[in-house]
Amino acid sequence: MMVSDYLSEKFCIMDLKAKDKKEAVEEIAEKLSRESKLTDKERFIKDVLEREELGSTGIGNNVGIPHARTDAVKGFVIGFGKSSSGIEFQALDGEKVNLVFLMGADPDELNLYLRILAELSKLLMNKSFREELIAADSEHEVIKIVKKFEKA
Amino acid sequence: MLVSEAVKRDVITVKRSLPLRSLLELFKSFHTHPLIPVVDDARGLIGVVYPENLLDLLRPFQAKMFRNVPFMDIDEDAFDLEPVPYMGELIIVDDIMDANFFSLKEEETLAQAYKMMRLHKKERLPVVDNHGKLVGILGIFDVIWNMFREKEIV
Repeated sequence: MMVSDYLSEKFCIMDLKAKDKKEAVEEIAEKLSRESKLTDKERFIKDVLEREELGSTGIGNNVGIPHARTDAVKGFVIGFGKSSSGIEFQALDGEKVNLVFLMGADPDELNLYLRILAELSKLLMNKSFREELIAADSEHEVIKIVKKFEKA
Repeated sequence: MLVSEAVKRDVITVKRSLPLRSLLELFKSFHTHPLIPVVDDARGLIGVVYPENLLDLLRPFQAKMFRNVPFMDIDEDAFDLEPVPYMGELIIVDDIMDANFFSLKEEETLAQAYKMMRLHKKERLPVVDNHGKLVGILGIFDVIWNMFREKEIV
């Protein structure tokens, strides 16, 4: 079970306009919603931000993985956005975030949700993976990079 | 005898925001593997964490339909996974707790409680009052002890 099984070009944003965490979550959620991946966009955003209040998912290295288990998602969903100027994210290291992976799962999909979160965390530990994502200039390339590092 | 007479009221609880690292350390401090109730600021019970929920972090993905099938529920591969160190902070209780838990009411009898433990395959269940606030935990041994006590063996 891999990140690339769920992340597709349609769910990627190459130039986030967002300046802060809330705007970033809203922007990516909008994208997911347009692809009919959310049953209730507003509720999804609210649940993700509420989860962020409990503990920031800005884990350092300019990466944020906001996520929530919520009824506002059917099954499992993941979207990606990147920002060249950086987003205020209340990250653990205090740095701005350039790469955001937004995840949601319905409460019954705990096993899948944790599995993808673990896989994604592992990929993001790799400096080359992060650098290549930051340098990527198309949605197609993002997916190609994810697949390449998953195989590595 | 009623659940309210046998329930253990002095129990350790956690908040939704507790990081995984601290939760693991808390579990380590117990002799047996308990359930840990997750409560809000008003002691309302909002979830529970059993050791199985922690295993979910390591368990490879299984389609939902196979999870409860004997022999299909194989998690040997759990040792092959490589969780990254910062998951200790990234994952919090809210991410892994079971929010669809079963709880007992104070006014239920121990016989009913025992049936529920069998039905849900749990040796410990949380007990709540009529407002959903946590009263404590009832374990299988609390039931056994009181059965022996009623028969004046202890």
